[in-house]
Amino acid sequence: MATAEPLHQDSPAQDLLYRAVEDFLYREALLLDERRFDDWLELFATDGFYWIPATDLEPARGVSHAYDDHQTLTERISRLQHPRTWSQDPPSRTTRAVSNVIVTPGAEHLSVSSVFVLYALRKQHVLSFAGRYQHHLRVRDDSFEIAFKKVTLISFDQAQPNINFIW
Amino acid sequence: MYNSGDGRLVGVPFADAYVDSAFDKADFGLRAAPRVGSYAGFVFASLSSDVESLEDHLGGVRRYLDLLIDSSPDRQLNVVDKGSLKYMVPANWKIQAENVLDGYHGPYTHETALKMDAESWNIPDGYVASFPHGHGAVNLILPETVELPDAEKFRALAQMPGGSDERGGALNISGLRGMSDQIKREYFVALVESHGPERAAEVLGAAGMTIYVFPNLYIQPLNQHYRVFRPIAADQTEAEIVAYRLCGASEAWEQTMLMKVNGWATALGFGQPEDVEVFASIQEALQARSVEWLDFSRGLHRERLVDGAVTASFDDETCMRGLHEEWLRLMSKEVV
Repeated sequence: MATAEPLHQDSPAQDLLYRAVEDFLYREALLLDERRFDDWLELFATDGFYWIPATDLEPARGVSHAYDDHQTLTERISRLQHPRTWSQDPPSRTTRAVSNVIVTPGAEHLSVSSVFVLYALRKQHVLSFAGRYQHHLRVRDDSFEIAFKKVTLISFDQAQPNINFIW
Repeated sequence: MYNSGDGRLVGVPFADAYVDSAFDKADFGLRAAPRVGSYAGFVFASLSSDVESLEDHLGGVRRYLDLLIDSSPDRQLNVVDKGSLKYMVPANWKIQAENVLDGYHGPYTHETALKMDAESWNIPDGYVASFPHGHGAVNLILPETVELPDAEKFRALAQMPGGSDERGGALNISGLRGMSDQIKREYFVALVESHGPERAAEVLGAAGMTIYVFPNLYIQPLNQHYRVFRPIAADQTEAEIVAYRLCGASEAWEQTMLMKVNGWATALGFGQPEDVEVFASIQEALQARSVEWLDFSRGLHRERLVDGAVTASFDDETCMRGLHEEWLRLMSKEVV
């Protein structure tokens, strides 16, 4: 099916779309690194899901580090901003790079695969993480909204340290 | 290469290299744990042969494991396939063990998850029970179940066709979205049909219990999982969380419980990260040389001996004392 093929930047229109998607991902990463979680939540569709798997199964079958609908995500963000959420006192300081963006158009949304590398300062230790993001992006106004975000750490099935921030 | 059934060494590469050697495959099989037993479906192993029978070792905590098994309408728990995940605890394993026996940390450590105001929080009804050999149970009597342990009410409940049941809120203490009334009703009915109203009432009266089997097994039925603690170093522990299913409960019940495990107990859960941060702080504080002792005397005056268990208020440190007494007893034993 033509629509399931990744988009290549071989026409001016597609090049523009690619740049818009990349720009969106970079800005999203900046919002998260700056802990502007309320602004980030604005980007999230009210019927969206945020998923960090702990197995290779679907969330209805295996356990997940996180599997949030919009309401749970809202609670998560409210908790992360609370001064007595001890696991984030002080907050983890993060910076992440997003790369290797592949855009696959679909009828409902753009399916976007990317690679992330994330460093987190937790107390005096810098922890490093890597993995893959999968976004489903819908067009909203002159930008996008996130209908689905899956965060697959390469260490998804290992013992996790304090990673209690938004990925 | 070992036999996967009995651990015998069945093959070595190019075995003719040992032709003039005293090497004997029979001497190099996997070592068996001297004592293995199972109770309530859990398999326990002891690396020492100098231990009593498993039943005697478990003693009074068996009553709680029986309640756990009976929380399944079919009296069987199944481990969820790929239902396990791990988190790191940068602290000694006993700090993690103390935590699961601690009824008073909730409104402080988990204030933002439980949405409780620590200052105005009243000690809930409930008790701790410390058993010989360091085992413990913490039973929070959920406010919503206070009326429940009454067989007649259960009989009536089981016969009611649909409709709202406010008391079912008992199973949603975590403040996360829990079961719908309909899912809870189906579960209640299945329990009553299977076990009869008396036993169903006992099981639901213990819906807020947690079970600790010394030294490293913890079971939390409220968010349907158990945990195994593995000491890695004096200041490092790995905890594995394993979700389980209640055979005979509905698929909707199981789905919701899986979400509660995700929501509470993982490294990104609403509960566990706060605990782990506190463990790390305790471990750090314990490095101080100027303070020699920790105080575990909370509630000492309230202890009573009931059926061989030392019980006290929900918020007392009775089970922590039991844990440390057993640890001290074992560590003081003469090594033969």
